[in-house]
Amino acid sequence: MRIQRTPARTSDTQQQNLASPVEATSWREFAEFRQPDLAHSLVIGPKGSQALIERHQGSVGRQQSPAENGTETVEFQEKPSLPATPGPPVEYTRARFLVLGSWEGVVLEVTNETFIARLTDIHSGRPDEIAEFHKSDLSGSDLELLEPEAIFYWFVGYNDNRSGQRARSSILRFRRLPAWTPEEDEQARAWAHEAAQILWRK
Amino acid sequence: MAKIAYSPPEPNQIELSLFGPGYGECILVHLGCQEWLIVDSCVDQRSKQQPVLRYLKAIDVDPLSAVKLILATHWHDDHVRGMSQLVAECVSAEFSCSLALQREEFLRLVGKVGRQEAIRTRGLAEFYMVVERLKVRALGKPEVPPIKWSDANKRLLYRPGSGECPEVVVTSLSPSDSSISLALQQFRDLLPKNYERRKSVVACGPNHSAVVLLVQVADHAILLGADLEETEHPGTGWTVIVDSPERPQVLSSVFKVPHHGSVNADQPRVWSDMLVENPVAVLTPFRRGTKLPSEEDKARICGHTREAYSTASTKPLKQARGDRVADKIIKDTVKSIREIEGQVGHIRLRRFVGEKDSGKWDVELVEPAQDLCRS
Repeated sequence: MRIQRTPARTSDTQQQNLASPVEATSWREFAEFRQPDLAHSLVIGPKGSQALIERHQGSVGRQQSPAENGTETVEFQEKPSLPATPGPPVEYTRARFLVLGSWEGVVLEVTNETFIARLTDIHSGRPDEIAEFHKSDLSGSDLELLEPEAIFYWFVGYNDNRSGQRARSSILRFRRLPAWTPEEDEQARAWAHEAAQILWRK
Repeated sequence: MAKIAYSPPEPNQIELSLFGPGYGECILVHLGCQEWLIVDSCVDQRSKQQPVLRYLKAIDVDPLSAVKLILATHWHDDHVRGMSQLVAECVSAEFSCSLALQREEFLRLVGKVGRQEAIRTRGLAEFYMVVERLKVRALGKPEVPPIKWSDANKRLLYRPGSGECPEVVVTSLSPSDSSISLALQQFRDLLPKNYERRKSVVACGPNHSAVVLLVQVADHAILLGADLEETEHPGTGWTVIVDSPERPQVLSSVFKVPHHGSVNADQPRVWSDMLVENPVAVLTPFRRGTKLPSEEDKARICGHTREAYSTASTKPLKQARGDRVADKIIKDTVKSIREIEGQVGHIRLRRFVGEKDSGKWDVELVEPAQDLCRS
């Protein structure tokens, strides 16, 4: 039997696998999580309520070890089967992520092994905080986006899998924002011109 | 620590109140006769209120009519947070900011980055809202210049003395012409290019656009150092101010130490040429990233004067407490985490002018404000 070991401090599977909202979300910011190749869904309630990240296909996925930045797989020998202990049957449900805390972060500084970020609470209105994260907690694609001033989301909460098992989890995801466009440059120029006309009495 | 009395100052009493939560600052000056000046702005992150407006209301002062001038020394987040609310509430107040911010380079930056909600550039976003409010005000009162531009040796406010009301002169001492040129280059560098990846815009030093202010009320002078730093460029920073023959040649008895007491903002000749012996020095700490003032900074400042006060400690705060399980996950995930701002401290200085002048400033501290030299 092969099982995946979950390190105490780790990014969650969903760090890599946040995906396209199936239900309409009122929070357009999360649209960037869309990844059509993955059959997961993200359901977000109104600000302040708990968010739910759901996985419809229920694959376990890979766990990344922060130490090795890769899958850590542990082999176990099958033991001779013993009489089953009576208990309630396993009820298979939809996997979900129950958010206990969520932040928007701005990277301030990147060091060899860590990065420092200012965090703004988007869940409960806690005061801004400054935190130092391990770079090894980032997926490869997020690592490419890591630079000063980059913006990310951070969720902590419970990850309930399909068989009802619950694990504490942390999800860190850098935002994929569109590049600046010439149209925005023109709009900025027009806004600046109008402001100057009115305020500076040009 | 003694509780301060929440009563307004006398008409012939000057007051300087400095508010600071550990990231951000706001200065309130009573110019006599219930006329006030506000320099910069900060917000209490816990209550989401403006400490300066809360204080004015607590001492029965109506900000709507009593505040005569609001000045933004520069556009950084820790100096302008909540500024648009001040502009909205203090409708009688004129608004002033650095002449460097008048130029197209800065306005394009505000127009492009400041109105993008998706990227957290709060200083520019706040300035965008300030400009929008000023536009509305300007359209309603086309005869009034909406902004007073501050640069070297510019008189921003004058009130002649009459009766109990002392004479008031408020003068900006910076930025110099050279500083403005360098600030414009910084704005050009910060402006995102087309097709570049969208991200937040973080200000980089040194701060060339900062407005240093000299407030003279009767015979007393207060020097407000903003975040002006010394630089290697000639004609910039503190040296050009100290050397200027055009600045009012007075010695100030109160000094708002520039740039949170950092060594790169320290010019010893400011202490010898622009301040009285043992002035009252006040500052706000900076607890985001590099912590200011450092122990060396404190020692240096306390070497200049026996009376120095900070609105808060520089010691790192603990992590804000939330859900117990969430806190445990956070602790297991991050290497370190701490709150940036904390409680807003308040330093209040009061002094009479004229016959009732006791010869010294009365200093009152509201926690977590503390004596910098005895802490």
